[in-house]
Amino acid sequence: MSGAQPIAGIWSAMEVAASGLTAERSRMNIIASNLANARTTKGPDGQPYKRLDPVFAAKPLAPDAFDRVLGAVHTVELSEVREDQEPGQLVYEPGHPDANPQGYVEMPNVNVVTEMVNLMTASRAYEAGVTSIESLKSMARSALKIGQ
Amino acid sequence: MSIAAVAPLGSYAQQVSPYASRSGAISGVASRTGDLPGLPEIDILDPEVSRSSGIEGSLGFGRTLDPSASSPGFGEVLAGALRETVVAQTSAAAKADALSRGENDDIHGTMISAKEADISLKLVGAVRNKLLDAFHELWRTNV
Amino acid sequence: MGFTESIDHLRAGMDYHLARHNLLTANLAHVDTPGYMPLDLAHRAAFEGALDQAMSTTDPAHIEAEGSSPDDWEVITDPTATPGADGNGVRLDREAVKIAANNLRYDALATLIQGQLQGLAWAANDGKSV
Repeated sequence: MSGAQPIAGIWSAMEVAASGLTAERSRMNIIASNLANARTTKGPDGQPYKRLDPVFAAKPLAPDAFDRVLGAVHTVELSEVREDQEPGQLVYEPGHPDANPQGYVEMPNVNVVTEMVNLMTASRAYEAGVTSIESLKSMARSALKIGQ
Repeated sequence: MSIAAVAPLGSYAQQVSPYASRSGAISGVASRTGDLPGLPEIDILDPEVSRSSGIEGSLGFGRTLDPSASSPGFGEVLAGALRETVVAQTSAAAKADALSRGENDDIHGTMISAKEADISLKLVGAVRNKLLDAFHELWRTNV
Repeated sequence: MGFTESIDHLRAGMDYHLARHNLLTANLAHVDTPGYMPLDLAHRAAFEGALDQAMSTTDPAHIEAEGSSPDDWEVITDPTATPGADGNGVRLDREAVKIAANNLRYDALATLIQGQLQGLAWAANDGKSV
């Protein structure tokens, strides 16, 4: 229990939980962008909007840690925002300004239902992260009570 | 309350009662008259001896500390306890310091050390009081 | 040193539960990380024995935490987790429940330590309450 070596304690738990919350927030932002552009048939590059997909990766919190538990703790970070290249649905709408010569418009490959489900999942994960921080605070409070 | 409950401080429980243990319980007092030339060996701390032989406190009471006493004396016992307490307090203070400077976030460990050091000091005080009470009682008995 | 020994055991238990909270929180954070399998903290000796008897489906922390030192702990992959399509095996609800249970045990140990310290303080205060 020396003060010299960092251990998997309160600070590290906070860092990990915070990274989780940030990750879920990024996810929700990306989903919001997908939902907002569900009908954007012509973006700045002249192409229909392609839905974005966050890719997360684990990053070790303390790679050289002497403490084995601390060495096993990884924070989560957004490593990539990937564009989903799946072609979108072709809708027959000859009067549409972005219609192709055959009269079809390529819609963004955004499925609103899927995005809503993902949004709910991200929201639940965010809530769970908040609960884990509340848990940590409760443990710190119990520890402080010992000194009273 | 029973001194035996002060067990955490180690060997004090055996040292406290001058009647429980024989010679050397309270150091510095020549409990064996054999230290004085010409007298037969008697244990003056034995209440039976003082009652029966009439050898009062004049025999050896008030003599200076016997450095060759085989068991640790009153002063040493108390000094040892105080040393341990000081060590406990210093380490608790160091941990609290590290916690406040953000060097370590071991809250429960720091709180426990602080409380233990605090109680250790109180225990030393309680033992000192009991030892003094016992000594005073003994002193009074022989007058 | 009867009193302080039991306090040391309880404190070791608290260290364990705090360390475990770190791993469980990381599991929660990695609910969407491809290839991530949930981690847990087990007591080496107890865990090995537990696998032999059909206890492999229980929470590794059901084995008592008192008296262990960091050397007895082992970071393990949760044996009950199965990887999904992207290789991730974290189940949000399961991790949340583990966190709550772990929290409760930590608080219980803290309360027990308080009791022990109060007993010592009572003794130090000559039998009167502090």
